[in-house]
Amino acid sequence: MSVEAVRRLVAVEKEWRGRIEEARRKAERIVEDAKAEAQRILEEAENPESVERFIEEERVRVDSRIGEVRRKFEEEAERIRKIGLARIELAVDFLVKRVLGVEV
Amino acid sequence: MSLDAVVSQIEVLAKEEINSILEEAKAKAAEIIGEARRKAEEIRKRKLEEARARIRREEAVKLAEARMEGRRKLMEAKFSLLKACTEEAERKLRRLAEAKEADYREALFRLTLEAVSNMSSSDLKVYCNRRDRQLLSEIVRKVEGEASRLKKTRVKVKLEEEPLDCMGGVVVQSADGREVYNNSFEARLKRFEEELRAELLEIMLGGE
Repeated sequence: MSVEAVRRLVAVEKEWRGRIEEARRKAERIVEDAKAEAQRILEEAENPESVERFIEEERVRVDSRIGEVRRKFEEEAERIRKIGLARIELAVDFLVKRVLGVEV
Repeated sequence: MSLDAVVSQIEVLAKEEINSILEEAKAKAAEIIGEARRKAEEIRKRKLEEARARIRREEAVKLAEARMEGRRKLMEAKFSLLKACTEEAERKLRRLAEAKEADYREALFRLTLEAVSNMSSSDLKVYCNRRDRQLLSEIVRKVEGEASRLKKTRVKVKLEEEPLDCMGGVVVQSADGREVYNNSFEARLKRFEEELRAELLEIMLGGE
């Protein structure tokens, strides 16, 4: 093999070694970037804001349910007042008779 | 092998190595990100579960408070009915006593007899308001007779001059002042309003 040929081979080999080194550096960057992305993903998951929307929605649901319970009791109290007032005369008569000593 | 063939062989091998290095890096990156996403999902799930449990606890407390307040409102509604009933009964009793109708005369007799009968002493004083004095003076002898018959002993009842500040009814006291039976309308109303709460509500609400 001539000197010229050997030189060419060395040059080619050098060039490709360089490219392989560059590929290795690129590979390292890819892995480093992936690690950074992974870190960002984990930090985002740890961020309390990730569940705040859920909590807010749940609070709205709970408030609505509590409001419904209160409203039902209000309605029941009003119904009791109405029924009672409609029949209060009977109770008054009963009480008056007992005060007067009349056996009921 | 020619020089070109050797060079070509070097290029092929080098390209393969480069591809392999990059593919391996990409696979590792995908694995790192995949693992991070899986962990992130776990974190999110855990946080949601914690938030859900916290909301459930808050909900239980708020619900208990709302129910307690609701029950208090129902009680208030019932008490307001009882109060209205007692006030109306008081107005009715006052009108009845002021009208001095036969019903009231009979009531005064019953209330005086009941009071006298419940005293252990047989020597008694009876008090009433100024308005009922005449009426009571007309029935006090009958009370004495009836009480003596019931107690199988001679009962003496003296109508006192001192007027009682009450709507109606009587207060009976033993002559020695040791025993008192308050059968005024006010006392009876208070007594029965408390004793008959359940029955009054039953009448008004019909078992509601």
